[in-house]
Amino acid sequence: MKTLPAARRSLHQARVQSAVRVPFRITFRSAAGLLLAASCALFLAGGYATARAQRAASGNAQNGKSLYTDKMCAQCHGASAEGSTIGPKIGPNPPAYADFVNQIRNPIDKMPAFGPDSVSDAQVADIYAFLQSLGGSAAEASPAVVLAPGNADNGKKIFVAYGCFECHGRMAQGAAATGPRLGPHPIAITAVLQELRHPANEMPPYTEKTVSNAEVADIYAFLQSLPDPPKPDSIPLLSK
Amino acid sequence: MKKSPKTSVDRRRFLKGAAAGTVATLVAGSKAVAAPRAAAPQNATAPLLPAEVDPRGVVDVLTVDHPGSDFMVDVIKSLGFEYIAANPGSSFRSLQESFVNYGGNKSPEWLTCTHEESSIAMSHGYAEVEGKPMLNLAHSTVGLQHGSMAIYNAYAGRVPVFIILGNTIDENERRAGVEWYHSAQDAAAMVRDYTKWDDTPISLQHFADSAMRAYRIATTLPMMPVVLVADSALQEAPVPTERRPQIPKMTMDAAPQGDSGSVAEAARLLVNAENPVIIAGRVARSDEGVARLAAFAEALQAPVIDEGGNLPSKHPLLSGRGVLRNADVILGLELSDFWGTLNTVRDQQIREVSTVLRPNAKVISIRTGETFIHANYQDFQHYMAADIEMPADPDATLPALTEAVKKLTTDDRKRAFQDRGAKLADAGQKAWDRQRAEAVYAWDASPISTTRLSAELWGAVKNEDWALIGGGGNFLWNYTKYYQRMHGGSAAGVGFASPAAVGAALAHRKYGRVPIHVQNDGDLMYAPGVLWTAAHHKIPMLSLMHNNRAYHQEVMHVQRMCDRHQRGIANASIGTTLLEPNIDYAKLAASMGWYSEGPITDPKDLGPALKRAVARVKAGEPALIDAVTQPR
Repeated sequence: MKTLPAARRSLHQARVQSAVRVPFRITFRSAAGLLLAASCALFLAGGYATARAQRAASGNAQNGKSLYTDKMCAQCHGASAEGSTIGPKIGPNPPAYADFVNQIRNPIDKMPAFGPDSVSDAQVADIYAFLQSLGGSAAEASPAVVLAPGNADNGKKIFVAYGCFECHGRMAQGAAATGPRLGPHPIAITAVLQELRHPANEMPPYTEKTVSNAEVADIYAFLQSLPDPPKPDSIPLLSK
Repeated sequence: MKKSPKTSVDRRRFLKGAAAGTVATLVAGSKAVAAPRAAAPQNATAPLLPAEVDPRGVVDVLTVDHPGSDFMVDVIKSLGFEYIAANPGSSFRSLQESFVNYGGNKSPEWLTCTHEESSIAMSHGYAEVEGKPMLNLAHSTVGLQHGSMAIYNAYAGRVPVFIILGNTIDENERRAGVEWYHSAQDAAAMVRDYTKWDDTPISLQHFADSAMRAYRIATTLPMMPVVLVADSALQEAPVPTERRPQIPKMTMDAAPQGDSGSVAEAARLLVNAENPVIIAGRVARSDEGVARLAAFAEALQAPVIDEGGNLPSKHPLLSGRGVLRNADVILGLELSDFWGTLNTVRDQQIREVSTVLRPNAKVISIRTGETFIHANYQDFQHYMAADIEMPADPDATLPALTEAVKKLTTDDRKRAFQDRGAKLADAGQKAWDRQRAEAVYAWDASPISTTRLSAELWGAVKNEDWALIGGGGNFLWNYTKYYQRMHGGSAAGVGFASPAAVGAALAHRKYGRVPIHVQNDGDLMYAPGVLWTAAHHKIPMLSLMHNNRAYHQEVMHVQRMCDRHQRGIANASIGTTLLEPNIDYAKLAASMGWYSEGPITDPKDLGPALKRAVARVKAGEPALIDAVTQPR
């Protein structure tokens, strides 16, 4: 198991009520594998630990394979879910099922939303089963990393100091040309970590030398702390 | 008959013209001055004149009634230029005097500019709105050097710019010192790699002929800058009374149309395709052109990825790039980078390429861009192999292509097209709704979000006869007229946007429109003197500063390298930010005669300030609002 340095862990333990175990694989693959590219700002990341707890979907993998093509998933994420410059790798070892469904229904980025009218819940489960069936190698599974809940105030500071805001905006609201919205209600921290350490798209890599896991937790806490925005209908300038 | 450049402009020819009566006062000197000479080689032929006689003699000519520059002005006036943009320079002093006195400073009217990069970029912006060039004068070596980046921007952007370059070819016409620094053997050579044509006329008739040719070349697709060198001696010598130069007739080229065979094959592919996609670059050059593109897309009910700001923003067939992933036939219309539209080079340590092009997809290209390219500068972009390539103007070709599509469309295909169109319209509406839902994030943030910035600007002008002359509108903006957007490109040379906006605003002035511009702070700091030009010439425009206090693109580049090298980003701001002190753009603009407000940091203050500024613009003033913004 990969753990935070003792000093860092103490610091976090001092400021949090309880620790949370977030399984995470940090596996640096070959350069070619690293650079399975994705140019759009899609921020759903896959390819992390099989060891993590995730709800097993009871879909039909064979049907999911057909749906994966029919619903044009392959156009962005590659024929084998390996990712492309448009969309990230989503298999093998897809993200947690809840995150997967949430991204399809309410994407946090430029990915088009797929409502139940275009992809039913059962079909989503089938596609997920297909992604699971691709089978990650044992080498891809890795020990979990323990991330304590972060400090939102510090996260807000380092969100600026580490330049996250340059592409994603000071309130993590995103910008069309540079980076997607990250919050409020960020995607799973495992996905955030995956994208930081091993970006599937244009985002520069942030290794642990640059941003520690504890600092990632702080940034994540900041993203979680962001308030919900006003409703569009409440803003006259955004009237239809 | 072969002419000697020297004999057409030299002093002896000048004296011949003067003796014929053109020159009012001519006092021939007789004092001979022995010039120092190198020893003649032993095998040299004997000199024609004794060594102690200077063949140039001394002639004291003080005035001239009708200099060559007057004739040059007549030529220029015949081409219909409205304005001359120039920073003054002695190499065209005679032309300047002829324009403002002989020409009455009308058609063209002289615009005082503070930098050649500004004057040429102003021409660029003007041409994007007006569709024709403004005249530029540039001062020999140094003036052209100042203006060269702007020329390159116009070249890469396929925009016509007409430059007259002062120069003194005959060394005997140069005063000692500075005029030698400001003279060149081949003055236009410096920009020849990124101009479409240049010439160095050695007579006034040559000047007239080449002016016609230059204008025609500059405004023929692909449009580009041209340079005409106006020799200072030719400007200042009298117009010859014998064989007086004539202004030639001007005839413009018709736009090239795609050949009938290629048009028919393209139509067949498009009609039979299940998922055709149209990618429109710079297609339309008028509202009529917009209508032609719309009619073509509607005949197919095919999605249009509009990279050139062609279709009205609420057109139901407008689509995002997502449709490319399923495309079986892709039609590219005047794309400056077709390959780059379909492929992505990832900016990571290893630059891997990926494509959205399906293996069996057919690609059709109609463009003039490939019909004229130079070798050195790489503005021509990555090679792209199309299945059908028409070296033609899409706008001129679309009527025939539309007709061919309609003829091939059966009732069954028509029903399929209608289904496709309905789905596209629905997808377009959903995309708009998603953008609206996203716009609320950071709505009240300070610094001001770029989404809020754009929304506030839209709110301030949407009920005016507005035209965006640079910077970003967003999904809210309802473009319904061709002139509401800029339609050129550039080489992304920074420092271009502010002068181009002033030139564009000038073009809009006579129509009484409200030109609006989102101005980047780093760009303005290259040559802010253009603000003075706008105020001096009473060019109304609204400039909204997108003041993120950085060269933000470069911040991200350096930050990327910091991340890649794993050294932390703490120093990424060195050399890339505009802080300490913060630049007060409102004061800068006010110092040059603009109405201004700012810096504004609270988004709630932005809308009211913009409304006050719009009122000033409608009254004929330039106005600047400085908004402190988020990076992007």
